Amino acid sequence: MLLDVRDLETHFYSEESVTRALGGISFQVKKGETLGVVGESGCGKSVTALTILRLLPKLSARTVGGEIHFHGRNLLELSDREMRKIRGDQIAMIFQEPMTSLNPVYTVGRQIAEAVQIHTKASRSVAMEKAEEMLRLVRIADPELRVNNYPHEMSGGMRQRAVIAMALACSPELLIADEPTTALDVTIQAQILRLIVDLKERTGTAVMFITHDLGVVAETCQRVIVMYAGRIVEQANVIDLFARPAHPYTQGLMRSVPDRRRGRQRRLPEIPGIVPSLREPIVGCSFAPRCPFAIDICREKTPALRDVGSSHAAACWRAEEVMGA
Amino acid sequence: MNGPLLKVENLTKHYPLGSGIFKKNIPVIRAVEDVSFSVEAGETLCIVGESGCGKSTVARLLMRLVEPTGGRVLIDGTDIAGLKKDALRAWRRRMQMVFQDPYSSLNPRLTAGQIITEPVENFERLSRQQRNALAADLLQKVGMSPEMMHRLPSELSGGQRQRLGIARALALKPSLIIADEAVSALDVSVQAQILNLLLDLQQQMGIAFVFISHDLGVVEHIGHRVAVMYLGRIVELAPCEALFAKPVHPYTEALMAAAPVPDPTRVRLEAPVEGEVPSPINPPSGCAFHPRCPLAVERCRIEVPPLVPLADGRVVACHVRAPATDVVAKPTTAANSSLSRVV
Amino acid sequence: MIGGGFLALLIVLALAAPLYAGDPSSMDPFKRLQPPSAEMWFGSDNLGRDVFARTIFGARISLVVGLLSAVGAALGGLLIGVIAGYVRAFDNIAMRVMDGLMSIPTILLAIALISLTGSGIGILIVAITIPQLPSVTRMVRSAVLSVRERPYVEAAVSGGARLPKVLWRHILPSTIAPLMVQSAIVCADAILTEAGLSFLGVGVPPEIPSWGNMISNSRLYLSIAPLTIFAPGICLAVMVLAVNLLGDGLRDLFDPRAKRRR
Repeated sequence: MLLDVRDLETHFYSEESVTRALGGISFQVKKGETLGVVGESGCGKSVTALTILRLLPKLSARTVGGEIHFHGRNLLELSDREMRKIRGDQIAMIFQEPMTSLNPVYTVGRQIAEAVQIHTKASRSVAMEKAEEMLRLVRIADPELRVNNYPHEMSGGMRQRAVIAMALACSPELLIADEPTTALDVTIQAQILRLIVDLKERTGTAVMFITHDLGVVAETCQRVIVMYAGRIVEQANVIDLFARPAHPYTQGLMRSVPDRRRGRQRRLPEIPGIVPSLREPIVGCSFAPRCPFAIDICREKTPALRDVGSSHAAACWRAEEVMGA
Repeated sequence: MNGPLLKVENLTKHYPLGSGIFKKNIPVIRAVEDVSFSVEAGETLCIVGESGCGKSTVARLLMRLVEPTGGRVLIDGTDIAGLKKDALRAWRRRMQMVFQDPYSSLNPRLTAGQIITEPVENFERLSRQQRNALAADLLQKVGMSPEMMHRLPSELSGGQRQRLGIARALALKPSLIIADEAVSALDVSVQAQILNLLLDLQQQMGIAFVFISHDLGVVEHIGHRVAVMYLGRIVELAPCEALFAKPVHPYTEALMAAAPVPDPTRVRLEAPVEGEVPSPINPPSGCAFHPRCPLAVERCRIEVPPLVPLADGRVVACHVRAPATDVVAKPTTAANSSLSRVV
Repeated sequence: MIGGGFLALLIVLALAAPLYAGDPSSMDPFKRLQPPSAEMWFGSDNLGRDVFARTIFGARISLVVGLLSAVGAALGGLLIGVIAGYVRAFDNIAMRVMDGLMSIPTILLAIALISLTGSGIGILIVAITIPQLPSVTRMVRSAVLSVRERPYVEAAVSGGARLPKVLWRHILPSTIAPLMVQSAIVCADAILTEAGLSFLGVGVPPEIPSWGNMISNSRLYLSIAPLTIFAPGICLAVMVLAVNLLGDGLRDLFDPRAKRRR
């Protein structure tokens, strides 16, 4: 077990209210696997990543409960300095917008080299060679020229490749990718997804892949967790999840994506209503108000994540019926 | 009515890079190059393409939010490019737009009711009661409760805001709505709600749509006909079923192959198309797709392929897949001559 | 909001001056440079005039000049800025003129204007307002430029709105907040400029009491009657501080993020 997250709870504070962004989530990432984290905006998928890396704004957010075990150490108990050592070296992160991770005033090569130097104490020239090698690894054409490019001299797709190169420069054991292809065009997205899958196979890095796109999950991940309103509602290996979704939310999500294999429909099945506010405490299942399966117990008691098959769990009182539907 | 509702002929837009009173030969961004299509009443024409292909510029040209460099936009046979201010304002009633971003397209200082009734108030005075009745009616049309009219945009969810954007577009009872990436910023479950709403509105009111999107799944779902754009030009325009059954242009093919499919059992055979979209400042010679095209031959580097009609009602611009015979190449020769006249 | 309250107090004091302060211009050659007394709270100056009364009446000048300059610069800047933000051809010309104005020191420009036309409060206000125009205009223009590209403005245009309505309903409201803040800064600056000009003898006519010419007149008698110079000096500092605090308060009111950052 590489990463073991238990009952993680993160709250955001503003002058007026408390937002319960993460309401106690538990999951694991195994060595070398790709775990997909899917959900719609506000479900807590990005907060999960930032909580693990302890990158949340200190003033407005606090992790109020839970443990994050990485290599048997609880990340929440480490000092800031120890945490900095882990970030980049053992856990790396890439964001949706590549410019978040790139400094516009340094060349791409220098930035990758710097990341290498911080974690390996290599000399400058060795680090620059490594940078060039990394750019070649992420299939940027003419890496010996591109190391001297500034970020603005690159296209969006190439920047995201450079960010991946930077993230992988120190051979991390876990790569957290937060919507890494959402800002890119489809043809470029296809290239980057292929690249991430290839690199993962070559380097054995585990990947936590955060996305809202079920298609992307299906093409890149082995296991998937589905999040809704700050909780994990379903967890399964990717084949089972798409074959027999056990949570009504997962099912609704899959059906509301236009999919040509079901033939052309005039109306898409929609999930009625809107995502609940996380500022007020939620009684019962948070999905109950939008759920076609909801019965009285759903509105009264919050369902816990329970096994509904081998390595398939769902937080739903009626998961069996949902799977049959 | 005779003829199509909207007819676009050889529409072209070049943006000069930087202003120069003294400089000549300023480089230009060729955002839209010789685009022609038509939309029938009650029909949905989709325009797909990646960023920088010019699809959003086409939307803004249709609305005359930017002035075209060349070409014509005809609504019921009238060229709106030639219209002066007041006449143009009157024509705007026929054609409305739904914007991509449900946040920045609504004035944060106005209430929902004020936002959706404003277009009508641009043309006539409304009493307080009339205004409230109109707002309530419009809100109901887009599936919102009339009480929402007193809310500010910041008090609404993304989906509700996009419904407001649609209500505002409906206010003038247009016969054509241009939707520029209208569902792209929304979550999947909300996206389905909005797409269904658009379909319902089309059925009830017979509104035609020009639906601009980068998402092929959405396009296939909502479109009657689809135009695929690459670097400012239409490369393929076909009835929806025909296009998705069998794409002809290699770019259309690449676009479809690249879209992720929510099926983990599917094995992806084809490698994704290589390279990136070139800059519209200095587009490749000949067919703009040739540097990335697996089928490219010598001719593609030299000659811009004309749009050639095929048997199933589609037009395709590709030397390899749809070689022009002398007879059918006519439309584009006409297009070229009119383009040179404008320039 | 302390600044606002303090400024309001100063305005009331100045407006009510004739009710409680003595005559600021009556001279008494036998009571020159007197120390403070029950009759004259701040003593008298070199011509035997009541320093307290002069200070209070001087506040009127400062306030009038400060407020009118702020209003003038705000209106002028708003007009030029909005047009410049909307009309490209005008923009080029207006902004070059503003650049030109900005390159001339405020005081010199004011002195030049006054020496062309002769002194007087009206011309003084104009002379102080003009150098303030560039900063206000630039601010308004950039606010307009950032708003006019917003999709909701395009939406209004495609909904058939005429230009005046687009400006009034969708563009102007978002310039108001920064304009108010900028006006407060202009006001403080104008008060100081007026004092400076009066000190140099090119501001308000000498017969009208103003803090600037009071300080100027009294500088020779600093060691004998320090209050003649400290009273207007301290008042000037306090008033400028109050206006600046008001500006800060306005900014925090309109932009709560700025407050949290501090």
